[in-house]
Amino acid sequence: MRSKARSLPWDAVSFHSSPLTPHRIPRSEINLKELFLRARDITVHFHTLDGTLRVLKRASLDVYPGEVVGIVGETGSGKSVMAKLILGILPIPPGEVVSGQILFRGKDLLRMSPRDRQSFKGKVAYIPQDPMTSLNPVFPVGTMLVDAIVWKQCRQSLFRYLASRRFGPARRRARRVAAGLLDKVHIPDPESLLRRYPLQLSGGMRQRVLLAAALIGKPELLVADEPTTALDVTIQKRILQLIQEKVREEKLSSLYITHDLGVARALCDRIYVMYAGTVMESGPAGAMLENPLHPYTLGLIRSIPKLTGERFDGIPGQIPDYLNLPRGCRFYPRCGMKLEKCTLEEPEMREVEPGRFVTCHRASLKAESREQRA
Amino acid sequence: MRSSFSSHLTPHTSPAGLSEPLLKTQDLCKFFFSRAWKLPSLKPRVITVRAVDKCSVELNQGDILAVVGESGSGKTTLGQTIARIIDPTDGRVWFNGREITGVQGPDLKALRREIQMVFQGPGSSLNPRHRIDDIIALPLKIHQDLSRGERRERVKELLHLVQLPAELMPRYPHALSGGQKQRVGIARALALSPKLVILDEPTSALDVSVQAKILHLLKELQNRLGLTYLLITHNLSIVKNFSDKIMVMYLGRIVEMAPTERLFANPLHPYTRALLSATPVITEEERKHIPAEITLEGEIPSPVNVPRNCAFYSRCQEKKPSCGEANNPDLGEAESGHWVRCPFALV
Repeated sequence: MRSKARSLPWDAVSFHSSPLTPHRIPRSEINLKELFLRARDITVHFHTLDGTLRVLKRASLDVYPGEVVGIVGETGSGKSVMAKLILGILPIPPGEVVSGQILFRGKDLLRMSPRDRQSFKGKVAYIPQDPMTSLNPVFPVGTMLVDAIVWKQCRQSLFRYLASRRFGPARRRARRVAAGLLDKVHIPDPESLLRRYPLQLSGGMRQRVLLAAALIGKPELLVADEPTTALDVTIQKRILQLIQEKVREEKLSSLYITHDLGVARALCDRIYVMYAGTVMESGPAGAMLENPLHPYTLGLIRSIPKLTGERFDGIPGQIPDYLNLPRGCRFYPRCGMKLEKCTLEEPEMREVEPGRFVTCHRASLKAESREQRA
Repeated sequence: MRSSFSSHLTPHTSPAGLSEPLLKTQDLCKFFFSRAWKLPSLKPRVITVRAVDKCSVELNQGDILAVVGESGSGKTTLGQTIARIIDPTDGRVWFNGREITGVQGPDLKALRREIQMVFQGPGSSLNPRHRIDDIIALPLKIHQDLSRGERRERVKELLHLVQLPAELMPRYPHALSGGQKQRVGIARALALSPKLVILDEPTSALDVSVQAKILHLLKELQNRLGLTYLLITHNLSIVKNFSDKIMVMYLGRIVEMAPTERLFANPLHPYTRALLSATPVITEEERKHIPAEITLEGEIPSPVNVPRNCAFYSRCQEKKPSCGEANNPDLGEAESGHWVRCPFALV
């Protein structure tokens, strides 16, 4: 299999030299020796009354310790399904994992015992998309944080949790911990913020609170699902810097889901571009966005209005219906460079340049002819 | 009746000999008032939210003016005040050479034919219980005396104009994709062949590949029908490619106004520079077009108690001690056509 033979992905690519992000993690902190999370050939179907939706198709994803990995794609490209599956919150049924495995430090998440799965849940944290709807409006911010901390401290024993969540030393301790967490995400005067309601906070503040809540269990993996889409650019920039800082300080690895290529470029070390449930291209952020190898990535980049003022075009057509997927490559009906082969055969993911993987017949053919010449 | 519709598709031409702008506002204000009872005296205290504070805008026929700013800067309120969805508190407005400041009744109805709006969320601005053809036909029903068949013809042409198939007519909004819904919103705004269209974040809810198509459609319609746009957005990359003139707003006030090229080449106000530097870019090539890293601390202050001094003082990176004491600076012309509200940018 391709995964075994390959050298470490970016020996030849200097993706940390980019001047775009001064806050980027120094290369030495990314541990390439040890694989942190590996999703292999994940195929997920959803069974509905209309038929079977074949949503994920052999999607693969690697995360190394200390790395921020971006999943980029349009609405309906399966990026959230992928994240939910990794988090273990994908509803099964109607979902069904047809094949594939997710290895977390060598253990398969999909075939884990419920107890192991529970302990894995303590190691991942999730930042949801909409900061308003994910904080309970009828409780002060502190209540949510303190509850979660007490639950953790009571080692998830319901009796002890109920006994100590309202009164006593455990609660006082938890309040101090909560204030410390809010301080970590640079909230001024955390003590008074604990008493405030989500309604009284601005969008950026709410997102900081959620980030603080995610840090409660000292996670190893941080999954963020478009946390900055509802924010202004100036606030977005602060939140991105904050996430970067926390990833570095707390030695986290992060999976960052977004549809904004600019954000992915600013934050992520590597990017996976998804389309219709398949990973179309993956590689170091800088190299990929400067020189995309897959027609879909190219189309996405070309769709975005640029500050340079160059022409921008959309991609014709729309994302295929998962009930009625095209034969062959899932992107060929919208592809401007399709070959005859694309309509017949599904392309395989292939490493065409060091560290850069593409699922495209054209790119593979190009790479093959280059190899033959060499 | 057909002939009247074909006139609908011909470009508007400005009245001969008139050089005045299509839309002009002078010191336009929109304040919201609310009452608060404060302990212990329980005396009501009136709270004033200064959403739009003395905005003077000029917009020529066929131009695209972009209004840029963070949320809470009053850009949507400005658009809605101009479209008379809400009434201004103070200030004067001229449209097409006539003063329309306080028009009511039939005059206001006539004004609605001239100024239309495309709303922000394509999902929430279409009534989910109405069919697409009813949604587009509603302005025609209200403003024009057409038979049912004529209306149907017109809806078909409008759908064609926004590049949607006529088969969508009997569908409901939930059956449409985001891009299609936004096209329906555009068709509805164009139904009465307005002169000025206010676009309130027309693409912020859409995917990038769809966004590009909607922007191209809007540009094409503008060229074909001679429309004038007021584009409200927070995305500076769109502005750069779309508009002729930019107005940057902060806390209800205009802080900088200039032709697009000039503003990007030489942003004068510290807030404009910060906004530009926060724009996420994709390629190194683009990075050269924006100022170096400036990080704004804090967030936009509340518009309830707008300080008497410069509104941007609390977050400004280049503030001088005198900024804290002096009154809010006035807009000054740095070069011809380039206005900025910062005394240090003017010298």
